[in-house]
Amino acid sequence: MRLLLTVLLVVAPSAFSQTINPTQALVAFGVRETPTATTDIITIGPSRCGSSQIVFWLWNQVGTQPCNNMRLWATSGDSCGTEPKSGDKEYDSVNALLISSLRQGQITFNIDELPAFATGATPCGGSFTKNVEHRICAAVPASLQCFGLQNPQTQSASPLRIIYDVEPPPAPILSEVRGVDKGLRIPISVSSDTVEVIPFVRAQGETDFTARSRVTLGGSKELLIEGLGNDTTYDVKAQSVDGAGNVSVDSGLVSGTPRKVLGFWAAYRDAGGQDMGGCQSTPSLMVPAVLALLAFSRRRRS
Amino acid sequence: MMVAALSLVLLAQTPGQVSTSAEKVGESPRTFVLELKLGPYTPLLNETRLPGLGANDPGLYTRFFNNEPMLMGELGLEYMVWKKFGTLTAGASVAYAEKFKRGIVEATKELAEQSTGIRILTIRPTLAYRFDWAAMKYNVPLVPYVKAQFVVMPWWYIDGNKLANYEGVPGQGITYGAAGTVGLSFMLDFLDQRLARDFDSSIGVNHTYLFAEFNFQETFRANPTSLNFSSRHWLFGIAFDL
Repeated sequence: MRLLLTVLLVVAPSAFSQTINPTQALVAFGVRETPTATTDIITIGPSRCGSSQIVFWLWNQVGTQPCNNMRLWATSGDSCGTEPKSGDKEYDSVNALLISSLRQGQITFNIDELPAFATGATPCGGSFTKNVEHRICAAVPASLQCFGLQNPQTQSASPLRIIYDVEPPPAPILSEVRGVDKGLRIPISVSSDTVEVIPFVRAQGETDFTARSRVTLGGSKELLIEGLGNDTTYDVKAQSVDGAGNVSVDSGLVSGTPRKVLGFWAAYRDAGGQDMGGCQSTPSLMVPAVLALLAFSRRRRS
Repeated sequence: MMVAALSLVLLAQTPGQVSTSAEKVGESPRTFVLELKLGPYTPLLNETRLPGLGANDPGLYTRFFNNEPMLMGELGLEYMVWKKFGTLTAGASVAYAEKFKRGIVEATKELAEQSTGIRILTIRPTLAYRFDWAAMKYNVPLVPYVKAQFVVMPWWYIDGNKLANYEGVPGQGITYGAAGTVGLSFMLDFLDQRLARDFDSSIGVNHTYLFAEFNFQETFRANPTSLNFSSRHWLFGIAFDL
């Protein structure tokens, strides 16, 4: 019992630290941005026009075998079906033996050549304002026994959706500014598709704004602008940037004034405190203390 | 880390070991004492003598933190080096405490929208004597004890979410000191002897205690303006003889 508990104590932390990783739940047969991607969507913007994109086909079927080559294609339709339709763009097929041995592989395609862009009605980078969606599809005849009595059935892969997003996100909403030491804290509200915010700052009286580095908000609901001068009032505005790189219009203008803030350490130093920080000690008292400890440990050994 | 230490402790207690005279018949060997404790900790920072503060100034700790105590949590592990008339142990403990409040706007003296705080780690190599002879021999459930400790205290002052820095001087350092502790443990085995024996035979915990202890801590200071992290504080917790 004791041994069991000991083993559990040693093993449990590492076992518990292995939280269930969603990337472990691989798609049985599908096309994804990466072999471990958890989403079936890629969002791209006009800045990607003219470039290429690599995606992966994944075969994680257990038992079922591919009986013929895998066909891969891009469609602008609402569904893939089991084979390319007229107007779809087909890519090189994958040999059946490679599917079951490699179980994953790359496909590289040009964004401009996706079906809806290639027709000319909605060219990539064009001035249209509607989002365009494509699917990267795959299908393969498969069966439990390819050469037996059972006829292979064509299996369709879970497709990868490629959303060409041209709609800018809504402008962020900046709330009441709070002045801190050489900086401003601004509560910010952004749309769910916003991944970054671009702050713009100017000292009151100036005409031009200066763009600051893009800020990835993550879970934070606050914009912190640092490196400002205390007792100067600043105007601040911001823009949201979505995953496709689309930039919103400017937010409303807010103003605030950084103030010099005394923390405990500053107040202590200001009042004449002489501790210098760093790894300080008091040698006059430290030496006898360490010697006493050493003497004690030597006496025990002898 | 704690689990690893506990595992080592349990592994060290193989059933083949011979019990000493300080252990009861049938009980597994006692080798370590593991302590988990919590309590209020108020460093005597107000007693730091600063020339810039007036005679009636309440002190910086009061000014910033209202002289409110921090909550200190401590984990200690001691090895039993002598177990004849009571138990002598040597070990170490690690404690952590922190306090955060709002800073002060210099111009207006109003509370700022920026926090200021302190984080303190206390590492204490420890020698302890527990008078558990009566508990072992006559089932007296009270075990008084004393401890002598060397104190190593790394500390950090935080402004906002960064290490405080005043004119290029970072707000961090290490302070050393010494401490003495007086405490009283209540042996929980007294309440249910059979459960206590099961606890020992199944996972090797010989005895379990609830305790209260008073800590008298003095930190060494280079000059009167050095930060004074000395304290007189109570800690309460649970201890296991392993």
